[in-house]
Amino acid sequence: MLNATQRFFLSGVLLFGLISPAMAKTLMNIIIDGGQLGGVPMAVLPFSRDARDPLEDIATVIREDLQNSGQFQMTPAAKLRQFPDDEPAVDYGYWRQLGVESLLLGRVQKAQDREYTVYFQLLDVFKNTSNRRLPILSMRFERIKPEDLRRLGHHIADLVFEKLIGVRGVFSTRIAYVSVKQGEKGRLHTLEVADADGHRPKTLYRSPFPLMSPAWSPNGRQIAFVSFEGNRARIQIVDVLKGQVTQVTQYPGINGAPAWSPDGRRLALVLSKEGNPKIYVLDVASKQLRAVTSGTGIDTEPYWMPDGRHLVFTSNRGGKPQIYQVDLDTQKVTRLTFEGVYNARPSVTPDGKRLVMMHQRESAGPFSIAVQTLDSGQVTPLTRASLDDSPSIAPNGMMVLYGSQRANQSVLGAVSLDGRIKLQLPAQEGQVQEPAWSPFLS
Amino acid sequence: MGLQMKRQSKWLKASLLSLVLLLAAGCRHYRGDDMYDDDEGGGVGDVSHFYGEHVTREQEMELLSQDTFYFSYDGYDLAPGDVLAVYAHARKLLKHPGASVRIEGHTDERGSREYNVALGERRAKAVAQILMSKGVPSHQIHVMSYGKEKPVAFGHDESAWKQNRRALIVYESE
Repeated sequence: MLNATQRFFLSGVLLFGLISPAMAKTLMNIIIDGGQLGGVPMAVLPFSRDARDPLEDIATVIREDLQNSGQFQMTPAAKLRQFPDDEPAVDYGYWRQLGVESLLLGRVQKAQDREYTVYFQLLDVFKNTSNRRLPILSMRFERIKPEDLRRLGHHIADLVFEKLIGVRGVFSTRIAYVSVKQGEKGRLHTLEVADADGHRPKTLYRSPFPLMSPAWSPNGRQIAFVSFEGNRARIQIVDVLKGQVTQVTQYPGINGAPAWSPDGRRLALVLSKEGNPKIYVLDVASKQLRAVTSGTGIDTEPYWMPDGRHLVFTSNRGGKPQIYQVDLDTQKVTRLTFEGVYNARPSVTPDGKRLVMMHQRESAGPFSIAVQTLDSGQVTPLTRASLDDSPSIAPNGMMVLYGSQRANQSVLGAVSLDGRIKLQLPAQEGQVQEPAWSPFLS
Repeated sequence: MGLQMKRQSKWLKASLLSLVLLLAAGCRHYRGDDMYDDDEGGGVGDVSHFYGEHVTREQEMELLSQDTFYFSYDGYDLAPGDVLAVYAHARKLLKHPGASVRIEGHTDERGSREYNVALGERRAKAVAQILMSKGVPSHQIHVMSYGKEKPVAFGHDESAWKQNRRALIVYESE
């Protein structure tokens, strides 16, 4: 098991090629759906630093991450009056009076040119009744370059989140999505990768033809996607670090909906080379291809169950699109969804217990994102807009990213799996669609 | 009175004769340079096929100018009125064996992206199957689908949706 610092530096190696200048604007707007914001009352204090250093404000990064998770009641920065940067300077009575339970403070110290040491302490205000006690979490990071401060902020937010909520944070993960912009010579489609908060987008692939269905490999190093150069569909893989592209399939007809197996060795995908769109499994190394569904209907959008032995997929074999599961050993198919007239684009939570999908309850009704508990079959809509599509589950199973329409623009939204918290990633230039949440990257 | 009768019957005879000639001509395969007639078999009872034998150059150009075919929601059956235009493209492809077409299927924005790719392919295939039923070899036809990825109308209502539910015949080489 890696410790937190090792994790951070590993992810630094992995993502080195993607780092670009930070965009200094907030991309997330949080909307708490249906009543009050619950969660842990918390304050994140500005990290002390030499005022002459024009550094990224790491505390703001941490505060926004935690705030956007919906799991915290954050004291707004403007309401803060005391700014200790070390535990002995903390006036616990003051914070108790404010109702703050968890307090995060820290320092950014210059070690040498372009290298900083960052400390933080997480304190439980109510546990520390009289005597000074150890912080519930404290850490020091050395040799941090200014351009790595934002990434370190996400990492600290992950650590704090895990300590207080008991679930690993996803603030250091990334999202991939397709952007469509109208240029002078027609539409430009790009495959973008950004931080989980939408900052620091970087283009991995561009094409005058549509791009579709980005899917992260389980180690986060590759993204499979669909492109249409020359009006021919093909599945390609792009290396996230190097940008190198390799072709996987280009059969006549549909080449679509790639999905990596949990072990990263196989791709489930859709081909219509034999007539109808069917699910295939491709062994990436040996190129061996095996059909796993049959029949005259449409089968598409495979997604692996965590066991690596079953796929869920969309099929119209019963008339309308519904979600089915196929056992890869026996090829036995079972239907999973029965509520609603249209269920499609399934994905499964990391624990294998819940299905997230596009859901249309009744004919001509809205398309929303819904979650279905696999044991009970109970379906709960998570969104209420009319044209939501392409749900993608965070690697900790707490949030779902999806594509939505707002004022004639394609935008990205996120919703918690309990439906309580909704986020919008506000307008970027052009259309933004088909988000894919990366796995944990360290 | 008598003269009028005689004139009438003479006119009638002439009209009958021309009708017979017309019908006879219609049953013959015209093999000139401007042959738009498509196949040798000539299915009995296939009205559109019979009709096709009378297509003038102007009518043929008119039919060929239709390269977009619209579909109902979630449907992939070609509208009956569109079949004649597809036949005209079949005749053109048979006449020009070096020509080839791409048939693109498209959908409206409702539903999932990859399912819409599959639905769009069914629309493109509906057109392709008519071409092939007229004897166009499959190597002249490339079927593909963009699903909902290339809309031509951007609204979120039926007036936009119905323009996007379409199949296109695009000549990749003529």
